This record gives sequence, structure tokens and C-alpha cells, in this order.
Amino acid sequence: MRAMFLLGLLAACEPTPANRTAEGDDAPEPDGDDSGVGTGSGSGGDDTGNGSGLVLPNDCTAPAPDGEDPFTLTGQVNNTQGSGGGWFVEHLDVAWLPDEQRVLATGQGGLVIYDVVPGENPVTRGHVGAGPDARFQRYYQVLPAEPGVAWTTHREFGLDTFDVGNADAPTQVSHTDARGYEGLARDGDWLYVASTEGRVDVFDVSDPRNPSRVGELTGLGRPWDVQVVNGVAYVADGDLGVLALDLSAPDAPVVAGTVESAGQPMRLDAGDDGHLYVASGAGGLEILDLSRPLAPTRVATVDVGGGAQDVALDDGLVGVTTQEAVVILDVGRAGSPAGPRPFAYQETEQYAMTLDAEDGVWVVGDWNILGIWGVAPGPAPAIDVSQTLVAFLDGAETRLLDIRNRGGATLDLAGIQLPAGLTATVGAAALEPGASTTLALSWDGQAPLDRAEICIASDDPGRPAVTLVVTGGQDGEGRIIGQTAPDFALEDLDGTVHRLSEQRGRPVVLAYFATW
Amino acid sequence: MQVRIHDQYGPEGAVVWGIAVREPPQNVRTYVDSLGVTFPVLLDHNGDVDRMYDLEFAFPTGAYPQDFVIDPQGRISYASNEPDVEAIEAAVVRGLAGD
Repeated sequence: MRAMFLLGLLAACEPTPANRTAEGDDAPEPDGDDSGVGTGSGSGGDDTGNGSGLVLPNDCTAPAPDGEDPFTLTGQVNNTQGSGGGWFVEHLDVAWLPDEQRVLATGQGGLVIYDVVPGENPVTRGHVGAGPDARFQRYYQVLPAEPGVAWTTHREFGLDTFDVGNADAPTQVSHTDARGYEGLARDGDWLYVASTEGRVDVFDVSDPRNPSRVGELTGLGRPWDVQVVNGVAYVADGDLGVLALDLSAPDAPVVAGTVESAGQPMRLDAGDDGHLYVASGAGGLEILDLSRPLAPTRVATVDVGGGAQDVALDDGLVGVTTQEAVVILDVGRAGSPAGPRPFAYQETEQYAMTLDAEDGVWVVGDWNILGIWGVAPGPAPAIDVSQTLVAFLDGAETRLLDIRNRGGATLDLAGIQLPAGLTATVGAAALEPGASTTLALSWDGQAPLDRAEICIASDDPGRPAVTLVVTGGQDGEGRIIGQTAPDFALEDLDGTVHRLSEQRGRPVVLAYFATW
Repeated sequence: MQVRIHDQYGPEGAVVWGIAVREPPQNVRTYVDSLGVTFPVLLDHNGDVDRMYDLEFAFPTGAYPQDFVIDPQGRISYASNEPDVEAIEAAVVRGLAGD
């Protein structure tokens, strides 16, 4: 959990799940409300006690890794303001086209085209979105229409069609004004576009370069995404759940079924396994059975350790982005038992927002980074620690953290290296796939802790050492109060730059905003 | 609530800034318009300021303050992640009084 006000860019997020407290009163739930099919319960070894005992060696020497890291970065490119000459990407959607070795991406920097050769760093080709014209910035989703043509959605401006045949110079070829546009899905000559303003719009795309709006379904909640599977459109509606739309009249869809969600459905992907996979924000990953296409049923809810933002499927694996990490579950690889099983967990450098996968290549929109990831057979353990910053404010006290194995093989914790004044116990040193244990950290209240480091060693091949930063306050909140506020300068909505240090002599209130 | 503080104490010299972290500007625009926000809303595109304040002032349990008051000398006089308009107001009033 990186920051409580990490904002729900993609969704109308609910308030961030309660700060995972150290008091044990909201110990992380391994599963959702369904069958127990998930990453946690059922696999044994969960331990929500308060660190009843095991002391590990005070050492951070990692043991031999257990297998090969099943999810590894093979190439990346970082388009930030610095490297991009004032331009940045901030990915919100990626579409991977393996045959063309190309990725079409959208984000706050507009539409971006990359050449992607697996195993190499992606190469940024053209983009639209530079400069002051907001018209071509902040696209939300992209859908390839046909070779050389792509559609993009924009919340304020609607639907755009781009000629992307010249990767260095994408050009707009048509446009339809609309509000709230997010996800889009094609079914033959029809294109369905979700609008968060309570609609799904229907376009005739018999000429893909000139979509023509021909119908709509209104009265919905907040549709964020749409997918068409075997002639049925499924809508991720942040308010209502997942809707199944009867497309018997393609230009006049009708709601035929609804699956309520515990979270806020935001993005969808369908496999060829008869299931629909739903990234549902704080509700995690929800899996629907489509064997009755117009009356889908939820068969599993999987905790992914954060708000599920986007979802993609490839070769029996489903991947979910949580802003903090990419979580990969095995949902039916050859030879695997049925059901979602932990496979890999990888925290990313920036903010894992969006992903797409095909042919064993996973493309991750990690905020300004486009990362290309490869999958190895696995299984291997994958460690996830519930927080990476720990502060002791009130003298001698104990804080409880959660260590979970999000990989597919047993995780062995080998040692915890501690600064003076700290002690630690864990409930278990070996965690089965999906299982968790409580790490109890105690401070004696005496030894100074000023951004000291704790190091946890395990046999996770991708992350043999996890570092936590720990501070101990001398006088509670006095640690914060009275300190000099770090200076900064930021632009406001009108482009005016405000610098904190220029306000000396006045009291300043800084109010962090979340628009969800 | 920050709107009231801004409207009430702005004329006396208090400064109120909203900070939106990693959010599309038009979302922020829509949101602040809907709230009737009249003070500047700053855009922390890359989360740099967010990170700086997170790291420096992390609360226990992985939660972070969402409201800060900085006194006229540039020191933090209030920080909390639970909105407490009276405490914010008190810190502003102390700042205006030069305490």
C-alpha cells in the first residue's frame, strides 16, 4: 500500500481500504465473499494471530532461490517529462499487437505508439498529445480497429479515429463528440462504447475510419468498460455491477442480466475458457461464469492485495494491476489444477495502471514506463509485505504487518535483519501459496530509529530481500509538528506556479484532494 | 471545509491550496467546480511532492496525512489524515496571530 491518497485514476474509487492498521482489527482478508477460491484461505497456513512466536535469524542473507522468477522485466522505456522534452505518458491503457510488434497506448500524454520486440527495450515512435492542446491529451482507452487504424476514447471529447499506419505520425481521421467515454469493444460492424454518464453508445463501424453513432442504451450507472463475448456485451458498471446486454438488435442493446459486485467493476477481459475476469477496484478480481451468457454468475473473488485496476489474460494466466504491483494468477495453465492459484507478484517501479498480454508477452503501463515482461514456467514463491514504512510514535510498542506469499510455491522466510532496539517475530517461516503470516515488530522505545532499515530475506527468486524503512518518534506527533515543511513548486489548474517558500509570513493549508 | 477556511481566513492572509496527485486535470477541474472551490488546486502530476511528504511524515500503519498546516515560519503546525476542520482552523488562527 503505497499512499493512501493514490487516486483512482481509472475509476470512481471508493475510499481507499482502511489503512492496514497495526492493531490487528482489520487483518487483511485473504478472500472475498465467495467460495474461498482465491489466493488465501483453503491453501492453509493463514495466521492472523499476533506473531505468536518464531524468531528468525537476525540476518538478511537470502537462501538459494526456489525456482526461477516466473515474471521478469525484459525491456522498458520511460517517457517522463524530463526524457520526453516536457512530454509524459502516464499510461491508462495499452494494446499489444504481437503480429505488428507494436503497442498502442493511451494516457494523459495522449496516444502513443511503440515498437516492441520482446527481449529488447521498446522504442517510442509517434505520439499525439504534446503541446497545450488538451484536445489530444488524456485519452483513456485505445482499441485497434484494423491494421493502421485505431479508436481512442476521451472523457471530455468522445471518440476519435486515428490513422496509425505511419507509426511516427499518427493522424486523426474522424471524431465524434461525447462525454464520459471510457471502454470500447467491437463486434463485427458494431462498436460499443461505455460512457460513465450512464450510457453505452453504439456505433456503426462498417467503415472503421468513420464510426457513426446509431444507438444507445441509457439509464445505466457508471459504465467504465465493455467487452463483447459471443454476441453478448458485458459492461463493467461501477455502480451497478457487471451487466449482460442482449445484442439481438445490435444497435439497441437491452440489459438482460446483472451481477452485483462487492467492488467497483472497472475493466474486463474475457478468456476462451468461458469466464469473464473483472477488475473491481477494492473488490479485487471477480470471475464470472458465462455458461449462461445472458445470466452470468460470479464464481470467485480474489484478493489481489490492492485495488484491481485492469485485467488481462494469456495462456491460462490472468494478470491484474493494482497501481502498486502486477499480480498474476494461474486460472488454467496446462497441467494446473482448476481455479485461481497464485502464480506471481511483482511490485513495479512507478504505478502499475494497465496491462495487456498475448503470446507470453505481458505489456505493463507502469505510469510513465512501458514495461515488457516475460513469463517463465514457475512456480516460485513471491513475497508481499503489507507496508514498507513503519513508524513508532508512542514509545515502546508493537506493530503488526502481514507477509503473504503470492507465488505458486512455498515461501521460506530465512531471516530478518533488524536495527538495534527492534525485535521481530513471525507466526510461521514457511508459507504455502496464498498463505500469510503476521510479522510483529517491537521497538524498545529507547534506541534511536531514524529511517533505519529492516531487511527480510526469503527464497523468492525475484525479490530475495525486502527492505522496510522504520522510524521511531521521540515525542509522538511532535516528530512532525515543528519540522520545516519541504519546499515545492507546482502549477495549478490555470498554469500558475505556486511555491511554498514564497508564502512565508502566512499560514498555509495544504489539502490533499481525491476526486473519487 | 477548506472552502470555508479559505473564504473566512483568506482575506486575513491565510493561504489554502488543494493538491491533486496523479490525476487528470479535467477530473480535478470537474471536481473542484462541483464543490465550488475557489482556492488554487495544484497538480502534482508525477507525485513528487506526494512522495516527499509521505516519506518525511509517514504516520504509523502506512497511512499518511492528508491535511497540513504550515505556520508563517515555514514549519508544520498541524498534520492529520483525519479531517478535523476545527483543528485546521485553530492552526490557521494561531498562524494568523503570529503564534
